[in-house]
Amino acid sequence: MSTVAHPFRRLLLPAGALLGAAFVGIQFIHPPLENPPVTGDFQAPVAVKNIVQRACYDCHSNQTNLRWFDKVAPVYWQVSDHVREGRAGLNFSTWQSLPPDAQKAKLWEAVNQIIAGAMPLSEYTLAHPAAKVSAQDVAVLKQYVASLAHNPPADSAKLNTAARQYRHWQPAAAKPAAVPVAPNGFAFLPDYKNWQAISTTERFDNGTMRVVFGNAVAVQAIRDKHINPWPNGTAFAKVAWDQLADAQGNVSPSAFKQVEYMLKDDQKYAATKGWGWARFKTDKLVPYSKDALFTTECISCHQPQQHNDFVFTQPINH
Amino acid sequence: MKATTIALAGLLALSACSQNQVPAGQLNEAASLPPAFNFSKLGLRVLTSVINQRQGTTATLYGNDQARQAALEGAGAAQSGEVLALLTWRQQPDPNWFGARIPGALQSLELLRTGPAGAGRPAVTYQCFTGQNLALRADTLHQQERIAYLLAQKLAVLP
Ligand code: HEC
Ligand code: HEC
Repeated sequence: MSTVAHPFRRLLLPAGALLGAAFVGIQFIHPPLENPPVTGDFQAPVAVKNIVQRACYDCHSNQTNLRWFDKVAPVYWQVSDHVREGRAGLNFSTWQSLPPDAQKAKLWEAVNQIIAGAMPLSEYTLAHPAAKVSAQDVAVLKQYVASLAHNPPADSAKLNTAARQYRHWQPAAAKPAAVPVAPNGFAFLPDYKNWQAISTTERFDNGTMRVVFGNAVAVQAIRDKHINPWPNGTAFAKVAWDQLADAQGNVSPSAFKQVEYMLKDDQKYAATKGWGWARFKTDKLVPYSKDALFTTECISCHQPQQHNDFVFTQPINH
Repeated sequence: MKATTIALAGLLALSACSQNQVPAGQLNEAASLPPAFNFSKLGLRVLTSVINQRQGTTATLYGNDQARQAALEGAGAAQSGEVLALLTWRQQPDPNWFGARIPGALQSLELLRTGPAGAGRPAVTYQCFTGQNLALRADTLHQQERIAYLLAQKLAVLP
């Protein structure tokens, strides 16, 4: 026994010294993390602003305030990655450069990320317990974003768009000359309108209404209750329209805003969580974004559904 | 050392509790149709969707090719062989997205069929099935009103 243990004990000191040296050494690998100027800070009622500043600003603003323990490598490497990625998706210091609709959409997304427990990152709140968002804080934030949601009466510009779209739309004839292709290579699938509806949503956060369609593979998976993970070949198409309300309180689809796809192939789309993502906007079906990086937007917002194969919809069996 | 490990594990467990309130991989059972009804066998396609904010309902209108064609041509263009189906649900808050409402309990399925023309206009049959089991309703209250409503629906743009 001791003959075996002995050499180990003799190795312990040098090994410890080596680790110590390595620890000191890596402290020199310290990619700088700058705080660029604040060009248009987030404005909101004090109670709301305080919560966001306390819980989110370290990663989502140019006013990152690292504590000493955040600056120690290797923790520092992860922290600085979080800050870089966090700022790229949402930066409260450049808030005013976002158009008003985009600001609102980001706030609803932020509140939903908090409700789902995805933000602030739990690795972070472990070391920074003061950044935790309480149930009381969530109530304050929910009330604030809800106060931003208003459905303006349909203005004439919107009605004209809807009327023009309807005139130009001939279900049998209208086929785009060339099939539009998203920057990630995903080609528009015109057949979605022949798929089955698996759910609908009224989005009072942004005044739209949606139908979620599923292809034959999706419908079979629903019937078999094999939906987590969804089988390869599953496709969803989510269509969004502006809402149009009449005097009786009936809300029906007005202008077509976009169709979004998710197509499951865990090999081909391994890099994007097993799904091919695409969005085509307006009735002209213009591919969203200039580069394939748009998929990080889709994935960020679908991330809280990671235990549900990144799918929000609870499908209806027809 | 050991104490901090336990504390860390405890904290992690606590933070995990706040995540994902909605069980994964579940169907919307309350909104689902009784399988015996075989709705999909009707072979209909989505024509449009209607929400009633006062009643808190959401509905999807389906139709066959004839119904689609008639709806495109506008009110009064009813022709023989049309099938229209309106599924209506009570709304519920979306458990996965604050800011959305989704179908909750299934409320009704209204089914309209047009037959060969009588006096210039096609004969219309209307049935209303209600509740989770889609039981056929016997009374004929509001039938004419509902038929007019269904035949007046405009298609949603689906490019
Ligand atoms: C420790 C750093 C950190 C903190 C603190 C933090 N986040 Fe994040 N956040 C990230 C990172 C990293 C990403 C991008 C990767 C991801 O989605 O996980 C992100 C992504 C997001 C996104 C998606 C942005 C997009 O791409 O559209 C939202 C919304 C968000 N965070 C909201 C919040 C809110 C609200 C808070 C405060 C309550 C918060 N975050 C606190 C690191 C952080
Ligand atoms: C701000 C958050 C957000 C972003 C960003 C986002 N989604 Fe979604 N997505 C949702 C929500 C919420 C739903 C659930 C249905 C609804 O309420 O509209 C959904 C549903 C879907 C569905 C139906 C299947 C499902 O998961 O329920 C598809 C398809 C889809 N999104 C595609 C995309 C694509 C493609 C992108 C990127 C171009 C994208 N989404 C970006 C929030 C988002």
